[in-house]
Amino acid sequence: MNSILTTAGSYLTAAEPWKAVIASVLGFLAAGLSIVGGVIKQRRAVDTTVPDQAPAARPVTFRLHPDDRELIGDAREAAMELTRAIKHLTGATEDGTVATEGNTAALKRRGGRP
Amino acid sequence: MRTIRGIPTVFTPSRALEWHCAGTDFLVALVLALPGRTFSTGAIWDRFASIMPESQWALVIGSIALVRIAALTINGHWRRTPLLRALTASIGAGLHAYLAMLFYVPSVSAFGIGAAFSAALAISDIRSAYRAGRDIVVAGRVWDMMRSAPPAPLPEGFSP
Repeated sequence: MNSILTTAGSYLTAAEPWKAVIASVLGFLAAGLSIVGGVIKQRRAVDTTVPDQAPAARPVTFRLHPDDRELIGDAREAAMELTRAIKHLTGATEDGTVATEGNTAALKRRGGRP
Repeated sequence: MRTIRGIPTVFTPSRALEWHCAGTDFLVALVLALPGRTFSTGAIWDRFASIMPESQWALVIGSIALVRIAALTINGHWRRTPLLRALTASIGAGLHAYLAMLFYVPSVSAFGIGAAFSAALAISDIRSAYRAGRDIVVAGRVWDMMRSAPPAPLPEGFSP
């Protein structure tokens, strides 16, 4: 027992000049362990930082009867033909371009009525 | 205007302890840097003087304090700031534990006031490191959310 105390005492005596450095290292390590503890604790915690995202709205789709689909298809074709005819008659241009003349002037030039 | 908006982020209650430790270090460095010989006021300073002169102590402690103040000031404006705060809190804990043992001179007093103050600051820094560690995770979650759903850009010419 005396030998153990003597050995421990000799170690303490040897560490005496380094006690400030040892305390500094222990303080640094304790802070490092605290960081790890904080990260683990927060990862396990329920996340209240980010609010729950609202579920995306389901896109609205129309379900048509086959006959109605045919009707819609015919109407679409008629609309496309009408658009093409108006474009041809009036000289209308696509979006982003400037018409060279007004629709009324174009109709008059083509012999149509405004 | 932008600075005023940032103040509530920089000064939050969870970071008060970090501001306290950084401010204390800055004042200690200022006192050491000012004219006068602090180390000649008592035997308790002999160990400090044997390590390095007063001006160098002021430089080391002041540098750590300024880095901490910088990390706290830009906190919230940069993703890695919580990590920087955690690292500076760890350095602060090491520094204050070191100072506590330097202040502890059994031949002068059982446990001096300087040692008690430094030990309290070291414990405060360990606590600050814990809080900063938790903020690392929170900041990561916020930035992940910002990346997946970025906020709409401000209108042209609009200054908050």
